Amino acid sequence: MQKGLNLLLKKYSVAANAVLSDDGKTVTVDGTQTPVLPWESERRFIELRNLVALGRVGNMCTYRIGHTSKKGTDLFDLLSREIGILEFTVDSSVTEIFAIAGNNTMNCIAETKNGCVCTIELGATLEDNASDIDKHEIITDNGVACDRVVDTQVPQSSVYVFGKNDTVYCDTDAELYGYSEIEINTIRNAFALAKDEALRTVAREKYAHIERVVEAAKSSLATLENVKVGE
Amino acid sequence: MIMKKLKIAMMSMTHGHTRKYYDVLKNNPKLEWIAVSTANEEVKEIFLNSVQGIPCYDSDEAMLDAHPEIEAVVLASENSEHLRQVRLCAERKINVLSMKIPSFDMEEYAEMEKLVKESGITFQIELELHYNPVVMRMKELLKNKAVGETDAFNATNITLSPVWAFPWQGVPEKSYGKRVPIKEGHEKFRGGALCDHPHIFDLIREVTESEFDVIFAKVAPNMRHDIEEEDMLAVVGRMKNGVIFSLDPSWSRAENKLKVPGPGWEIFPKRMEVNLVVHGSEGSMLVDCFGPNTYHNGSPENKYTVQYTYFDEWVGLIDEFVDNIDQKRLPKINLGWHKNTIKAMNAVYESIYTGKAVML
Repeated sequence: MQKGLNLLLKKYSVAANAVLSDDGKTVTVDGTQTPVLPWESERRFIELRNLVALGRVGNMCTYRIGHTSKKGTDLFDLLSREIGILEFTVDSSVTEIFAIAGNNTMNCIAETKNGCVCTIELGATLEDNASDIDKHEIITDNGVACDRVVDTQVPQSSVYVFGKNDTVYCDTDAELYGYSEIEINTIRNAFALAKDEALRTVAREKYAHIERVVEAAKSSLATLENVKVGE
Repeated sequence: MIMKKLKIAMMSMTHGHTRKYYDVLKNNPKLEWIAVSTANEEVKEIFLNSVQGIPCYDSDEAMLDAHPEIEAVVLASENSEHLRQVRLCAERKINVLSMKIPSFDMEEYAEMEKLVKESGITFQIELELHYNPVVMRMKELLKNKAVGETDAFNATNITLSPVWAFPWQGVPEKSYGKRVPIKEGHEKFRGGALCDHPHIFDLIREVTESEFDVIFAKVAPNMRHDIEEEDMLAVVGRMKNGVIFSLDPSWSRAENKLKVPGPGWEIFPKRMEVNLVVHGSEGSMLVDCFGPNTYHNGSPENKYTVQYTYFDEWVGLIDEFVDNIDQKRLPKINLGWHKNTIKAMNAVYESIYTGKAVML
């Protein structure tokens, strides 16, 4: 991913020294570490956010989030990502959360400052060769916005090859052609952070809040109570 | 061999599922459709425009008095009418197929149980998902441990709101049984989407072979500002065997305000969705109980629309009802079994009201 980031830094003449961590979770820009928020650079979430921000859908009612990942995935990492997506797309922060967990699953109801009631259904059950399955559906008093097609259950791809070995491709970025979706979104977000010091400050604040929501979820798991998120 | 047909009637004709019975009552060879009673002029006109040749009465009593041969009745009525009609049927030893909510009032519910027990009638509750082929497959796969031991059961039962076509569903007293604010100081009342969607609360009990342990629920801002009841809510919790769940019984699909359901009812392309996600120790299963389908952008709205391809649940449901009466068999969905589903739904309202998890 660092190669991809370097490509963009060079092409667009960004002078900052930006180094991505191996796991892509942080970028260090001129010596200061900042969390990477890849969902903020993912086109489907940008478009969901635009639909809300531009008023093309109405006032928030509910938000349905589901994310099933590979066995062994840390459910709190998954929750961090989904809280980030929720807050980014509806442009409002989570104020309270109730969480309940199984062995490799967790379900939550979170409420945002603007009154949106969100269910988050998480699972870590898939085999290593499987792709994550996720869905984000915003339901308002004037329409629904969703990153999945009506009457389907799994994410769609752009290319399906049915040969000796069936293969699927989902290319979304010509400049970073060949990288996976999560790599592209990580590189794009790290690049955005490298360019803009104000954005880095905001990202650190946002991530600190996400961590507080996750802590509230942990507290809810222990107490079976609806927990307010600390400021 | 000449088969004795079960002489059946329908009452009220105000329920949203009324029209689902037209074909099956006419075409099931084990049934002889005797008569209907209608609750008001509006549903009477709709019925007379839809079905020919079946005598139609203005009151339940008039119908039953005119046709003492009636052996079974479908209570196609608002929830608030159920107890009165069960009394009428029990005293005449008439078997009952009830709509999905006999009552939310547990005293009324207990009286129904007593009436059924003392009269010896068959009392079956209509929960049509039991006769859905996709659900049958899901149950078989779970039984065979296709995804190992079940860890989580998540389900939607989301539809458009039926209140414009079936107005009683928008009246708290007729749907929930009384007028109770959804939360203290809240402008909406109990009786909305939750009361319309017991199916997933029933299904999880059957497939997990367990009962509700913890329920936490929240009501969201209404999609429809012009109705009195809740239309958007979220429910999570845990069963006694440790399986966690997330259930969405919302009316989260927008509709045009049609008086009679038909083409163009939906604004969102898919009117109704029952999707299940079952996570297990060895994988996950995604289930669409009403898909895939056919799609069009034809009349009357010329908008992209999901045209459902099957709705055969009522065939199996009526077959089972007839067999239960014939063989004097206790229906699978009887008042005793269904009671814990109703209690769980009441717990959802309690959790919304108190803001706390409810332990059952």
